[in-house]
Amino acid sequence: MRKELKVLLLVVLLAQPALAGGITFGVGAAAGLDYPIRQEDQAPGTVFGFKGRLKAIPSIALEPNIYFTNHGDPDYEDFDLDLEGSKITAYGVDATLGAGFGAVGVKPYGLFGVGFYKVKRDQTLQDETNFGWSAGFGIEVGVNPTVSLDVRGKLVVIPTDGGGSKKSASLTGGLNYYFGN
Amino acid sequence: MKYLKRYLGNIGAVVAVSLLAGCLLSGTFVLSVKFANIPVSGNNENYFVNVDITGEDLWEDHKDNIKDIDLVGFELWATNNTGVTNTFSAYFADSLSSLDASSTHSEIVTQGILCLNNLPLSATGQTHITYGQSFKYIANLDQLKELTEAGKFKLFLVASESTIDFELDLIRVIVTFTAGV
Repeated sequence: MRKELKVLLLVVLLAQPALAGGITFGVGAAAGLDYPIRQEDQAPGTVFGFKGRLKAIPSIALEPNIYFTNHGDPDYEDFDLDLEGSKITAYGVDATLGAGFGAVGVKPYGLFGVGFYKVKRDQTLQDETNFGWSAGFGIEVGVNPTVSLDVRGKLVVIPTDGGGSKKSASLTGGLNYYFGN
Repeated sequence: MKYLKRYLGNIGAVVAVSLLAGCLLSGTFVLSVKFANIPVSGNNENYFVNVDITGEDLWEDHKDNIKDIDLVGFELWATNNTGVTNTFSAYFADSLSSLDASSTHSEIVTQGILCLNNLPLSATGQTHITYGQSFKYIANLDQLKELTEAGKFKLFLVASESTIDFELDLIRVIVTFTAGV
């Protein structure tokens, strides 16, 4: 949890020069469920994370973020695998098109992101980091100019060294807080 | 701005469709083969088996599109008949290797590649080592993965004590791989 607090603190510190320049800036946190797609060695699990939000140009925002995913332990029909799910730490940047960014009301948006995905499974000594990407859609509901609710679905693709890839879908809900409005 | 939104929207749609297509076209699979009820007794006697997964339906379906061998592990059930605590190790060799059932203990140890090191065999009762637990004892995993990609290898079990008498109730070789379909 200390690592997560440090990231949050860093995001808030980064907000200060942005505020000084009159640039709208926000922070957010989200949590939800993660569903591995066609991965028999993983089971559905949880995801949570933090993000900053920077308005790049009208309607487009950039989100530096960090997400922590815990896949569940897989069940196998023939016998007990006794295998733990992997843990993934993702550091990346998402670009959103159409999010509200401090506007009151309902705003659907699309997103595309890239990042580094550190995949660990202590039980099997797996520890690898790969560059991956994601895409999805969301809905932001602005409660007032500084607070919004954010629900999004995202598809994550992590290419692996041998030319394959690991894919998962996540559904998260969270809160955004905007400075400078 | 309207054109930019439409343009980015189209790119997003293409990316999303490509991602979805990718999701449907690859996955990570768990395959297992098992061998049961093998008595291992006598001085310096070793257990030998040809592991061949090429005949398995799952392997047949994906053998031309394998991207990664993610994991190779084992599940074992063994019953010790001696009343003396023992350990045994597993070695593997290429399917074309000259090692076979007539090979001596020292030939296997010097020419084979260690893959499971000092598995415990309790003095009485049945010992069970799950797939997940087997990774605690595994060695040379990268070489084992490389050999598994060919679909065939030779597996040898050798005991640490010269006088052994146990029943290998079940040994299951479990392979996790990522492949296209």
